[in-house]
Amino acid sequence: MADSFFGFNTTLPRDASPAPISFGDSDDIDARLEGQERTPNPDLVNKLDEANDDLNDETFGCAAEDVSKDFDFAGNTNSHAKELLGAAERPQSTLSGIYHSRGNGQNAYDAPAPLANFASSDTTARLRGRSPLTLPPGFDQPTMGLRATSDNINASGAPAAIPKKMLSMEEVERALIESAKSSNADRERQRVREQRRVERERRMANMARYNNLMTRADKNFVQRVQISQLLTDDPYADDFYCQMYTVVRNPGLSMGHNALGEMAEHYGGRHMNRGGMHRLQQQIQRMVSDAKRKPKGPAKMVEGALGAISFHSVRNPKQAISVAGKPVSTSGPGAGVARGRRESQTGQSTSMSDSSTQGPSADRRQTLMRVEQAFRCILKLEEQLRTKKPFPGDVNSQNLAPAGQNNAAPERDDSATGPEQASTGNFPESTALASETESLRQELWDTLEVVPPVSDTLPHPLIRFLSVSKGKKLIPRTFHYLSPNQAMDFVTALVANFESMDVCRGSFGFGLGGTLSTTQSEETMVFLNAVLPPVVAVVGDAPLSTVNALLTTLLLRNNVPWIARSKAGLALLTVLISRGEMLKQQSLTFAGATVTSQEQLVEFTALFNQLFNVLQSHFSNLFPPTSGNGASPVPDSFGPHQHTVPNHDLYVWQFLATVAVGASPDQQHILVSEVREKVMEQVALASNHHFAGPKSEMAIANVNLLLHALGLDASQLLSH
Amino acid sequence: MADSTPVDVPAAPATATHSVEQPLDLVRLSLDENVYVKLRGDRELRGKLHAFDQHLNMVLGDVEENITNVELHPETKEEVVTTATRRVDMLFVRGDGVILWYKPIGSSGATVV
Repeated sequence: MADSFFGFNTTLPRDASPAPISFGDSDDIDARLEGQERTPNPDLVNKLDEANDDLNDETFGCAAEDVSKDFDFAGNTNSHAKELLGAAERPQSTLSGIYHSRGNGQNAYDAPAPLANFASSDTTARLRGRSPLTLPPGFDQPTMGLRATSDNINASGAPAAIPKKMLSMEEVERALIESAKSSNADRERQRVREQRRVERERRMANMARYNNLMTRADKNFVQRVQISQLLTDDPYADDFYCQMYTVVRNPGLSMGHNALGEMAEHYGGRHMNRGGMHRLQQQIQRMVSDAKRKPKGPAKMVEGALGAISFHSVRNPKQAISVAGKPVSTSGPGAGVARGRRESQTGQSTSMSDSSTQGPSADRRQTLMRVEQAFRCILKLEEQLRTKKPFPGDVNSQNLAPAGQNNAAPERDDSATGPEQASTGNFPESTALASETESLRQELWDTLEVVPPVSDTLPHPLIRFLSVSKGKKLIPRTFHYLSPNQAMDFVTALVANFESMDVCRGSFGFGLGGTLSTTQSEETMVFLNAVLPPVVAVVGDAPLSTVNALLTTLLLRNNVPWIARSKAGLALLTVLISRGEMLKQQSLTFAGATVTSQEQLVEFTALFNQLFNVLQSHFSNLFPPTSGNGASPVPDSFGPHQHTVPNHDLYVWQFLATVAVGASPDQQHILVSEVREKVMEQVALASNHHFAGPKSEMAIANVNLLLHALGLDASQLLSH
Repeated sequence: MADSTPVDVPAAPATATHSVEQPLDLVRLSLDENVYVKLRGDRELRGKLHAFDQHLNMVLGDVEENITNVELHPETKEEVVTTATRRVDMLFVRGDGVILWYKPIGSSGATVV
């Protein structure tokens, strides 16, 4: 193709044989395109106005072809556009790969081209692709479709004359052989790089058609329209889950403050430079303040329009049904009924004048309202925690310590007093915040109705609060806002009224053979996961005197065998006893070093004995019925489930072990004789391979919990 | 539990907590409880109410949906009633399809809106 198409003789005059360079006949369009795309056209590139193109990617997206001229709303850009469209055809035309010759190439013979230039190209295709470089400057740049004007364009568009040497056939062949030696991988890498660059340039050229279609102001306008829909004064109200997600993902990051930066980053994209980012951030800032100054009206009258356009946005949704006649003030006479109703319900007064409040459903409704109120307090407190400006010696910090850190609180108190007072003095808003926090915490505490721990209404208000699962679930979050004393009051009230807890109301145990209902076991799980851990934290830090007081309350006010039947009750007993045991052990090992007095130890032992006596003859009944019929084939016939059998009675073994540790030899004897059957049964089942592998191990481990506490091991039983 | 209260009715200020003043206050008390929802298109839902808003858009968990379909038999012209049931772990219910809503007696305090 070369000769005829290019229409000139490519042989050098000094070459003896005037053989024309033939690049082969295969029409490798791609390679040609590659070469064409590479053609430097500095003039064209320089013409592109890139000054305001920072946002082109965002404005036009990747599919630049899809963008119509809708955005050409600035009239004066029309003229620019025409110009640019005309100019833009040129880079496009390079795609055609049709070479247009202007005629003579005499000056091509002038300067010799360095051979290295040629040798670096490695394949025929590449040689051909680079042909424009080796062509004399007299030859045209590819300008398909512009032949009529090619002369003047080419005059400026052609690259500066590069001295080139036309090669003879032999030289070309030599170059080819040399290039063939270069490694395949090298070639491949180069090719990929080349392709990528070409692709990028093609995209740029394609997009250049739209340059200056929009002015800076246009772009800003469009962007403002887009972003203004996303901005909000109150991200926690409008975008709660996103905010919380971000907080959870990046703990320690104070939200809201860097939202602007994030949005700017999002909108600017990765490609935006620092300056552009800063500009955008400023712009967003301006928009936020604008929006704050003039809140969006619900409707807009466009000039010349017949009707008003009403907007619905995230913040201004379609009107909901508004219920009129809502009492505004709670202290007014209108709220009197509600107030009175509440007080009569909450145990302040036992006489119920309002008939609508009687009955279990009203009771329950009242409880639910309290839970909702507590939720509201917690949410507000947590919101304050998120939004408050952090400063050292925070007013709330010592109060916000979880109950488990109560021991650390006093020290922190002392050290924080100085800066705390200084800061509250300096920042009036923080004082206001602190007092609001204080009142919220008080409201929360009042809602729980923990005090008095012994109430004349049954069940105790706290127990009612905990009777709904959402009330239970709220407890861990509540404990963050309770003072150590309040936390202790909570535990006391819970222990004093534990027998009326719903989690004790199981229909199992005592050989009745019933099973736990689904809701019952769910509630138990919630209790164990939500309520018990804070209690454990409090008890875990309590001195023996407190443990004694709690045990006394428990024995005095509860039917202990009744609460011991339930998983939750047994767990509570375990917690109390094991804490007492631990303190007892400590005082024995470090005599004199602890605060535990001898009288307290004696008292604990007496209480333990009392508890043991109460539970005596019930020990074997503590096991849930499911483990009692473990010998039946049912549990093992589950097939796929047998490897994940839950450890049903682990908690019972744990409790028995705890009791065994603190028991006197006589008591241990009683304990063993009561549960001997159960122990033997488990060991026998495990050793007879009645249980599948993991379950067998589990049974042995459970039994060993108790036996180890007694100084024995299951293997001793197996050998007999 | 991703607690449902933030999605609550923004129109109800804190003063409304002490008593039931709006119909939606009743719905608020059913948060985290099992509810029954009747929807347009002969659909019924039973599930745990996680969140709601003033349009009665709802997020329900562990939902059982019952769809009743009534067709005329092409030949006998008799009504053929079929019901399909499916379970969904978590469901967003758009409020405009809600006809009625109540808390079943089982979970105490039946409340009909």
